[in-house]
Amino acid sequence: MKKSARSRSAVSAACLAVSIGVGVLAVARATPQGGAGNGNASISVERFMSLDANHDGKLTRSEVTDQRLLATFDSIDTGKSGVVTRAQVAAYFVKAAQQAGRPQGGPGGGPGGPGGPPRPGQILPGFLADRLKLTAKQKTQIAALQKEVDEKLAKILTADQKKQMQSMRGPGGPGGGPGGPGGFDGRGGPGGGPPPGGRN
Amino acid sequence: MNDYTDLLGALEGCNRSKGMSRRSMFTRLTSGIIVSTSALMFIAPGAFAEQLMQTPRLTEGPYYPDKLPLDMDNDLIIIGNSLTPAVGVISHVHGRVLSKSGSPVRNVMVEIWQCDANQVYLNTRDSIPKAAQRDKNFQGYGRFMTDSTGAYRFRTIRPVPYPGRSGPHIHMRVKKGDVDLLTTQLFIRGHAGNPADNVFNDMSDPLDRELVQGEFKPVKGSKIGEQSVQFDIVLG
Repeated sequence: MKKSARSRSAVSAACLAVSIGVGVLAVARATPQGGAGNGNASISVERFMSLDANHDGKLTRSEVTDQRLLATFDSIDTGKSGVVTRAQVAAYFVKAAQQAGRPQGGPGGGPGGPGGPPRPGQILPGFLADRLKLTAKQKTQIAALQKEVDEKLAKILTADQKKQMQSMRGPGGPGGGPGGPGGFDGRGGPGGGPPPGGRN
Repeated sequence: MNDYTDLLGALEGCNRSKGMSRRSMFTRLTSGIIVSTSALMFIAPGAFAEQLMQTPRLTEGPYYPDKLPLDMDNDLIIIGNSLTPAVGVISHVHGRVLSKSGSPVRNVMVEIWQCDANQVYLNTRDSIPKAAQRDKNFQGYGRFMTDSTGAYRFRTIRPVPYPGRSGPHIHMRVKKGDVDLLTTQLFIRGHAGNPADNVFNDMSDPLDRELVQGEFKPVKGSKIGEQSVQFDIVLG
């Protein structure tokens, strides 16, 4: 009796710890690449409210022991009362997420399927870049490389050749990509439209 | 075990008079010990201690210097013995490098690099094509080894926007020898260009964006409008 009571308590404490850990990890990994929907704001709220040391559901300025976050606290505490509620914190981060210039629920799944030949000189067509899941660093490097290529190609071709290239782009492939993965709350973004250049 | 049962016995004697059964007393005592032991087990490796939030890792970007300058000190406003300072609002960037548990990280190298007031980086891929507009008095890159308190400091210019980057920023890196411990970017808190900046937006968690913004405050008494920003860096 004694042994099982003890081991049960230990196991449940361990289980609780593991599930919290897994929960945190799952939440962290679930954030999609797409954009800053409401769902990502809820992660911020949880992280910020974890500073609530006495777990009374409110955050006082003195509970913000990480001085890097005092400016954030002051931005949330518009009334300068020294205390903020979870609702105030949520409102702040939802607004911040929205201001990031991306729609809620993440963007749609890009401008449709592969469709037609890639733009001449394009290093990596959009759908491939998405599928390869490029890192931010890689994206920046490719963008810099793309800029270089575009500039150099523009110098090599004559104005007439460039015009021909434009008109040849022609019909695209099947359009309408699937909707994006969306924000953490599960709502997906709208599906993408057909690629530029029209349908076959 | 002996001490435990003795303790139990003593408590039992004490509590029986209050009407608590021995079994419930045991459960409470055991649970208390188990919970506190478990708590210690988890706090020791740091999993549930109150830890500092890690400074977000951000892209290095394309312009880390390809050739390090001769003068690599922490004063980017003056190159060597030159008398001509760089153009821009002089800004003091300082802070501490800390571990997640808040202890100072000493003897690590903090590097910063940024474009000059005319939007030109030191890296030759930027500075050669834009040689005419480059501010040749701006050092462009600096380094400083943290002291025993984990502190670092630089004197540089307030960052300016760059084509394609609406959020002004200072690139920062913490290295130990050749090992890159963290690469990030320091943004100006509240700058209007931040929400539209692609690197700023790539941080999907808005709280991460708070952790890479520094408040550039005027230096009291400065006759040349100097600014100062404190930016602590927490390593993962």
